[in-house]
Amino acid sequence: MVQYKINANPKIYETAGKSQRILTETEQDEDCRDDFDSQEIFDLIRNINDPEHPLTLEQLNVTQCNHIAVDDSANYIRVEFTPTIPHCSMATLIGLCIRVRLLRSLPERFKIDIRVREGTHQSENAVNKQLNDKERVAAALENKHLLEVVNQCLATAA
Amino acid sequence: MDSGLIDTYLAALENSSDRSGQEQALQAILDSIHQGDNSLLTLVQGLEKPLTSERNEWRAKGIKLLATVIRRLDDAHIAPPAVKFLTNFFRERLADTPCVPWLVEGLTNLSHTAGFRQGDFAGSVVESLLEEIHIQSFQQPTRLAILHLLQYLLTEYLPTLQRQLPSLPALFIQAMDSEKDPRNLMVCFDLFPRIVRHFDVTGHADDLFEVVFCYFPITFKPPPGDALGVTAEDLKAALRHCIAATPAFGPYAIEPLLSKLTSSSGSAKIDALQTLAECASVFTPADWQPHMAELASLIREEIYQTTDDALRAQCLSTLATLFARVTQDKAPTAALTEDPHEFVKPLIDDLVAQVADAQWVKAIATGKILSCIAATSLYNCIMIVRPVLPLFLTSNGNSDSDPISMDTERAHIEILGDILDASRVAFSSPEVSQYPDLQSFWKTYEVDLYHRLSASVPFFQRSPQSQDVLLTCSTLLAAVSVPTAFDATDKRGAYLTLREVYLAADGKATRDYLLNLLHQLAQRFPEVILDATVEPLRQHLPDVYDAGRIHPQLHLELALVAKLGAVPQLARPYLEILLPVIQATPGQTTPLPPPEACFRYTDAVLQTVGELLDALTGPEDRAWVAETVIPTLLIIAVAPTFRGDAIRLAELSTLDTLVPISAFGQDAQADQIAHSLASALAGLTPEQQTPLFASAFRLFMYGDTTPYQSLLPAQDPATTLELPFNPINQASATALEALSADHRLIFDRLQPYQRQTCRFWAALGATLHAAVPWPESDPAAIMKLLLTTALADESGSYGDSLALLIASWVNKAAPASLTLVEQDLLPVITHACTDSTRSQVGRLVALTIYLALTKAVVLLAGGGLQSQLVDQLLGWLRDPVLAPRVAVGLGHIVRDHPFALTRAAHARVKLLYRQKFFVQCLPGLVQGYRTAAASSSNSTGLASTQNHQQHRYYLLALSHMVQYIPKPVLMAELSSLMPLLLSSLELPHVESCVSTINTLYTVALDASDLMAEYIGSVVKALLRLTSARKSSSTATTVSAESSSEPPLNPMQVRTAALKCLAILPECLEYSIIHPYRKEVIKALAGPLDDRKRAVRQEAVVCRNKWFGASSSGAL
Repeated sequence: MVQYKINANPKIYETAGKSQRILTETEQDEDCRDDFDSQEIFDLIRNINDPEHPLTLEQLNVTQCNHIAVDDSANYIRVEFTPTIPHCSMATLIGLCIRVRLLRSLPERFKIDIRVREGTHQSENAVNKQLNDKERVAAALENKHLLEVVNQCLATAA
Repeated sequence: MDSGLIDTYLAALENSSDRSGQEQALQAILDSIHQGDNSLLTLVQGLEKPLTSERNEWRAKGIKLLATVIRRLDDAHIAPPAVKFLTNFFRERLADTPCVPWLVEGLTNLSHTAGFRQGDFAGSVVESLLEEIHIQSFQQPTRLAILHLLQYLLTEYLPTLQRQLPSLPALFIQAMDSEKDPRNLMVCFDLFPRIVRHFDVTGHADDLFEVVFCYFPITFKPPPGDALGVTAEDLKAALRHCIAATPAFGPYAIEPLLSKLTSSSGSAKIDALQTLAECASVFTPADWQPHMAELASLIREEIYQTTDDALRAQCLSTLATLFARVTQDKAPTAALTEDPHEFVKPLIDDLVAQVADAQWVKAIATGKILSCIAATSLYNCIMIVRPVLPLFLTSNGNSDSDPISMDTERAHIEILGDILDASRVAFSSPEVSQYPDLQSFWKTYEVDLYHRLSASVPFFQRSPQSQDVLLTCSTLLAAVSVPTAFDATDKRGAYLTLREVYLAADGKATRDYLLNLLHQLAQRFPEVILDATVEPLRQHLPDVYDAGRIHPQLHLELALVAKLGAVPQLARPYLEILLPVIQATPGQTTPLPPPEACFRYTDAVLQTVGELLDALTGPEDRAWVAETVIPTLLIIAVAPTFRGDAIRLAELSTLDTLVPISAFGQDAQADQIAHSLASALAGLTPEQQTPLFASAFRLFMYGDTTPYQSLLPAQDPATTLELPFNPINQASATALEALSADHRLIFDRLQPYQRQTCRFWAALGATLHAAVPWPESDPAAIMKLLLTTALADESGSYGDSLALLIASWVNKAAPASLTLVEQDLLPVITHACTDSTRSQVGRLVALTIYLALTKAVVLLAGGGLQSQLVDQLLGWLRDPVLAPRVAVGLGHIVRDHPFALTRAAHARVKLLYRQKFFVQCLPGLVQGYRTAAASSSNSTGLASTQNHQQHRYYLLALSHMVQYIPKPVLMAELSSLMPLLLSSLELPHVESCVSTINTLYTVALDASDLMAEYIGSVVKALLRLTSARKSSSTATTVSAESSSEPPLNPMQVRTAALKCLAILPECLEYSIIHPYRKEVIKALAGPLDDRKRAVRQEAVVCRNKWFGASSSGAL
């Protein structure tokens, strides 16, 4: 059976391929605390695979460092992502992958908002509501098939 | 010949298990020939009956006997007439199929005889072999034997074969046809190109090509445990040589190879590309031209689509080789006026369209294709540079930081970098000098290009991605490196730009990258860099120094000097500047600069000096090092302890500040100088070392400064006070007696500093060649004297230095020195170690010497003496005073010293000494630990505490040793070691803890079965180490920053523990780790909030691996 892709020919962006962070002297000093910042969060999600293509979210420009806001002291993180096309039906799945990756990789003290970037998706509000509803996320992850798909997308991210 | 001998042999052959009977019968025949009773010809006559028999096996046995006898006889018994007769005899019988294996052996044996070489038989033998035998009908060993015979004859008798057998190519086609065995194919693929190249293949080229191309692509996979050693890669390479064996294959090969490029198999594509590349230079341009457009198009699409780096690299390389071939006859100057070549033009058009559409990923790929082609020849380079370079000389988006402009600029600079790098390669060709027109080719672009790149640097400095500016820097380097482009002023300008970016850069990785670019620039243009750096360096360094403060960029400047100085032409001029800078001691400045500033300054300069010295490896440079650098460095370090400004030295209150500053009194600086001296001396020959060490010996032993007087800094004699130099108390008594009371007081204050300088003597003494003699006739007496002196002093570094000197001598003068150790030195040191009337410091000094001697002996794998020394050390692990030092010292014995007692320092180091030492220590350590642990649990109060401390020393010793022990030994002893290793994780020492964790990591990788046994304890121990704070139970819930306590586990320990924990799900089966999965995932929530980012990153990796360990996963 032929599987039709929602976006068969996405635009591929050039990426650095690895973290842009450079190890500074303060990061090697035990006495200095390194606060969470947007680059650290971006490094966690940049290599998540797209559900449709063997490409990362960074290569498809779905996630960008400057679309992440972090307030370490207020325990708040907001991640905005950009679907490749406005009618992308994979947007919820991509958001779910980001959510699971951050749940597994960040301390529990953070409140994490994951949102579709404003004006980049037809069903922006519905997707945002779904992604930030704890119960719906938990329910989705009880679906073994869905969890398997999420795990496949996250396999490259570690 | 007596038929009885032959019958006996043939009868013995009947019984195949009777080897000795066969051998005896054969020997009897050989003896009769040797004794002259018979000859080969009479043997043939005697074999008439079996050879004419109707029965196949009888005829075969007869031929076997003949072939075996020929093999066992020497040339003297095989006369040329017999060779001729037998050759014809064997040839004529080749149609007798059952006899063929033995006939081939007989011919092979004959072909190695002198008679065969004298005759003219090669052609007829090869012809008979290929015409009479239907090779494919025989088993593999026979086919291989025939091919080997052909191979031998072709190697030895090629001219004869060319003359006698011009039809060999056609005959060989039949012989090779349908061969499938990889061993035989390897021989066929060796024969094939030789036949094709040395014989006329006209009329057979298509058949020859078909017979060999049917094997393409090779898909052979050796069976598991294959002992034959033929690999798919061997076959592929050999087949490639066959296809590229002759230009005659050109019309037949290209199309089928093109069709393989569309194969779905990646390895077939790479194989086809490699074959095309190999054929490129063999087939004529006329063969290639009709296919070039299709080839270029296919390969280009492959480059755009593939994600396989190896395939992409091969595509680029093949395309470049093909373009180079089809344009090889073009004169470079033709490209100055011609339109782009018909094959290059579509690529250039593609690039223009991609740039216009901002398809940057594809544009960069096209840029890489064009660059690869440009690098192949001057013609291709100019042909591509002319239309392509102007596309990128107009800057984009310099006015704002719009991300699109950043992308554009990034792509522009990357493509420019590739094109310029290719131009550097092409214009490095000696051909350039033949064409005066090319000398001015780059003038058209120089100004625009330089401005373009210079403007890009500040543009990218605004970029959030620090790698962008590095891209421009490397493009700038590529630009100025193009031969004939840019003059010295521009190159100097490029250096200054790179230097500026380097000084402004943040982060070690960025700075290292820039340092590498600057190093490349220095390698390419040493004169320009020398001119640009020497004067500023000369002016800059003293300014910083005199001001008595540290310029914030001093370390960066010196790191740059060290990196540039790795180019040998630059190292010496830099050293000539830096050595006087060190010598200009701050004791001459008023007021005295802050000691801390001086220490940091000299630290940095000394480190640079050390790195520059490493770059001087040429014989002339070495001689300069021996004559100037080593004596200068030595006297710079020593002089302030016996010579200085009289008024200053008289102020005893400032003396303790002044001398350490001037004489590098801090350990780090002294170690740096010692290290520089040692590495410089180690590189010299014994002849160069001998006078140097003789002078140093007289200096330290007797205070003779005469050879160094000319190197001392000039000072006013009226105000200079020079006191005796007497670190070993062996200087002339009259010199000391002549001192006034005041001077005596100063001398007494200076002498401890003089003793500290002995580490420089030790550095020199430890790196001597074994052939360099000690200046005194009785070195043993010197060693005893040094030992007595060392034991009498209780300052640490003095004992360390003299211990190194003694140990190095013992190691190099063995075995004679071992007697001295056993009889004279050891009793004295052992007594000093155990003498309870000595101070603790004194006992530890003695122990340091004991450990150094033990190391010297262990390196020699010193048998009984080693056992005695090691047993004693293990015994001292129960001594509360000595045990801590012994535990660390055992690790130091197996660890390489920075400059002494190593192979680089010309020490005698036996193979496997670490293994032997470890195996010797292990039982004692395990037993000692168990005994101490048992005593600890049975005793109470103070005794219990002491026993607890004691068993920790065994663990400490083990964890210090274990990281230096080769893996095979470690694995063999693991079962007894694991409980101890796990216990040692509880020790508070960072180094030992990290060492043990790294060992556990290796165990998990290489001995997963054993790790599975201990998985529960390992997980528990590692989880405890991943937490920064004391209470592991609260680690998961309380934020790290809320705790004001100092961290229990340092960052290195936490990171190592997380790495080790992360490897477990990969190495162990899921059923083993499943019981711990939830616990680990829960516990790792704590490290996810660690105060250090490096730890958090490891925690993320580790936790996700434990999540991923299950097939389904869960939150």
